[in-house]
Amino acid sequence: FGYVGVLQEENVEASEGQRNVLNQLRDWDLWGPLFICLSLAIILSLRAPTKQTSHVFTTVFVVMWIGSLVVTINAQLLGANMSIFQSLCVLGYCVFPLTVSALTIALLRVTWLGMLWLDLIWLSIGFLWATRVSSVFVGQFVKKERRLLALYPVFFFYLILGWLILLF
Amino acid sequence: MMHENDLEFVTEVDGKVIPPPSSQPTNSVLSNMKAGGVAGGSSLNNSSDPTSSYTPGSSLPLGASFNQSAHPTACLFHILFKGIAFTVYMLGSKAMEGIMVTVLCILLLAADFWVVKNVTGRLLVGLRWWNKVDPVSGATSWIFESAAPTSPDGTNATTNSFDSKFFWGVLYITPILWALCFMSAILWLRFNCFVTLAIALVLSFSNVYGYYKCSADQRAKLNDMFNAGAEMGMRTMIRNGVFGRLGGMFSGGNAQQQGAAAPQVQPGTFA
Repeated sequence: FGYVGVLQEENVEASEGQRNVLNQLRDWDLWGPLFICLSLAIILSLRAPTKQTSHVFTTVFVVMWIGSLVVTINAQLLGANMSIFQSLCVLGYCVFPLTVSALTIALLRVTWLGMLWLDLIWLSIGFLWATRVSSVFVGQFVKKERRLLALYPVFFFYLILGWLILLF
Repeated sequence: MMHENDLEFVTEVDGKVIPPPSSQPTNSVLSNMKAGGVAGGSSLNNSSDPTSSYTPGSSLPLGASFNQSAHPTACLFHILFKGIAFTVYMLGSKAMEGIMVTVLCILLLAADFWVVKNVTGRLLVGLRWWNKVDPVSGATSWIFESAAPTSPDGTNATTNSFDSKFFWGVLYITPILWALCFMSAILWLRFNCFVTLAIALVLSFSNVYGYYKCSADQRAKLNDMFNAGAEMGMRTMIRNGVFGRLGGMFSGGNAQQQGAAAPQVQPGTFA
């Protein structure tokens, strides 16, 4: 599915479509990640209990930006020479599938499909999709021996976001 | 990319800024200004003509001096989003819920950052800074540029001194204001607006830093002040009067920018 390849291959080869996308993302911009972050935070905070709306918003916002920053710095410390903003851009755009699954969960809660284990399915689809491109992006800059060290925070980051989505 | 179009756009703007050669309209503007009754329509006949009798640094009432600006709409937008964001931050919790205030503030601050970085800096003081991505290697580099003062006709299109004062004044005041809000939020232990404050601080400081790096003569003046030693700096400031010196720093920087930028080539100048 791509993960095993990323961990084991010498040089990470992005597929054709992925390479196009990553090349276009070289012209980084932080507007997309800002809107994705805002929409995720709004979706989650609207479903939160009334007293906690601002807390949820702050948590999601902070987790997303500080988490991306930490993942980037970690990868840079492991020897990847990518620019901070480019990595923030890619990681931010990769939160989009998680936003979609959060929206799906929120919409389905009011219907009979709104059960916990179904939420888990949507969430895991979003999670796998999100980590797919970002792990290719981060993995291509790091040498094979250290790739697991660089990729583990990426998984962890999206896992935390997914867990936040599940909580609310 | 859009930057190639930008080159033509800027020289076009420089051409439009050139006032008509007669000094008659400027004198009438000046006399009307002192009477205080000029409509905004005459703002293009402004005192950027170097032969006008307007002396930079003389203190005019702020309301009347808007007519000296070459780009009144740019000045308005420079302050519009910031002002609205600040008002929403201060008074918003009375009108709407906290989260709406936060979202609105974030959007307004992002819009203000974009406007100041891309539009008003170019129009008001002729500076711009951006991040260039090398399409081959993917390496990024930051580029800081300042406009050459001469336009293609050869006549001198200096940056308007009111524009410059206004721009730099507002630019420096903004992070100070937000830092004060941040301090007060920490003192009263109100952390619910932390996100707004953090974003406001980051965006305004990054704008200040970018434009500070652009403006070489601002750097030179500050370096002079530091090199002379704090004591001598204090003595000079006290001797000249602090406000006179600061006013002179903003507008005298213009005169120096014309002279200094013409002979030497700024790295990455787009003239």
